[in-house]
Amino acid sequence: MAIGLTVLCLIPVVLTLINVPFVLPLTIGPITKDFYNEIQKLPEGSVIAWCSTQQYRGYVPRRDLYKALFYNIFDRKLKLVGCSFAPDTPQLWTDILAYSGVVKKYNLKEGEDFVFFPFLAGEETAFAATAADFHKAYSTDLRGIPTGSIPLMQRVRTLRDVQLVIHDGSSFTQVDMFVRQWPAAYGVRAINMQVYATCAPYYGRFVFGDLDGTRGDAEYEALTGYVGEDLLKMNARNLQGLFVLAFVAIANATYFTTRPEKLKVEAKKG
Amino acid sequence: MVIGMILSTFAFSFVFFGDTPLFGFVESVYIGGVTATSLFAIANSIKTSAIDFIVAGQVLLIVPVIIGLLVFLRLTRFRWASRYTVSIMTGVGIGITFGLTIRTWIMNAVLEVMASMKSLQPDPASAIFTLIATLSVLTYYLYSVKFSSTFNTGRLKYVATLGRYCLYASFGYLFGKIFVNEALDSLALYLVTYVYRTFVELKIFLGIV
Repeated sequence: MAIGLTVLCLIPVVLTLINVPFVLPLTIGPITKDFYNEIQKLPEGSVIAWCSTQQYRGYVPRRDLYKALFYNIFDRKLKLVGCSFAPDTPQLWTDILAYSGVVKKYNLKEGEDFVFFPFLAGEETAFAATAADFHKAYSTDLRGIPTGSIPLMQRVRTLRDVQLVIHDGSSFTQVDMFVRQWPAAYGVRAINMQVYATCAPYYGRFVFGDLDGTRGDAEYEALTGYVGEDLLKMNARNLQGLFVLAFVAIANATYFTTRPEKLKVEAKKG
Repeated sequence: MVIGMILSTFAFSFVFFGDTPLFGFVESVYIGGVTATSLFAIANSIKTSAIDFIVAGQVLLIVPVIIGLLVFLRLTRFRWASRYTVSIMTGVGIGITFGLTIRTWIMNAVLEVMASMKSLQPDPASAIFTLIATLSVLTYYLYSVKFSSTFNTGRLKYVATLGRYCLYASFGYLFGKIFVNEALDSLALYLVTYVYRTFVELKIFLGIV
């Protein structure tokens, strides 16, 4: 039964991968537009601080989204400070730099246009320490260059020196920690890269844009024009959703039409 | 990438065939890899956030390092000493989160409801419904015998019932959005990320484009 259902669910994915021309329309939702607009409205040279708790399992499927986001950030000539709060994260920064090729494409200089910091343990305590003083939280960046001698970090001491913060992670509870320690504590505008349910209570007050799962990722790729795998996945998911709805409808119809009527048994008296 | 595709296929086999030797192999490789990566990352974290500063002259940082190291005494007969680490971590954790939790979870919710009622945003019906839902759910969670009996069993019991239905609706949204959505995503992600991507890379590598 499980194998059968899985195979049926795989059909739309396979159809998409072999380029069968059956594409459902994709509209750009308001929260993805908010996410995009928050980046677009920053003046040239503004600093974005990226709080990442992302791990391999979350990063690998979203690689093209990260590429689109990096392109978007550096198209706008913004500066990026990446902080790593999961053990995997430092290597993900290195990988996305290599995969996106932004250094060559935009002629970027590490330390002037972007800087990535190594892993800092402690979750919420680490968020708080970093926001309070980047220079006290990290002695060096990911390459071992002293924080004080990095040109970009000369103008960034605390979170008050950045214009926008991004959160990205693989655990739902970390959004609460992030909101508490970064936007709520320092009044800086934030955007989120996890499903909307994680940041819904804060939306409009602390968080001003979100990428809502696969749908948000695909919408963002479409919006920026840097099309990648997420649009492909979204098309597969749309078709899959139709299949699932059809299964639910057929299963219910079958159940109610074949359900045996309850037998009425009269209790014997006496 | 081919090796990655094969390993991910072994991992995915758990869905249908349970805990097989192939799945066990992938599981062990994953745990080993993550442990080794974490070990290096944590060692580097201690260096960049403590050791470097101590070497540079901030000797007082030795105190938190020692307090942190005390936790390992849990593995010895001096395990009582690890309680100091846990106590300090708990105290610091509560201190860091307490005020900001009130601001983000309580003050924010109250302000958000008031602001949406004042501005009737995102639309009047949503603003009114948000207010009704917030108040009715709050009455559902009144546990005081003196104050809650009116809402739970008394004349206003329909308010608490409405709160319960609002909670059901939010659970349904979360279940549909997070669990069902992620379950469906996993199939598409597996095929696109580990199978499709590998074939595309292979085609490029072999010059079949």
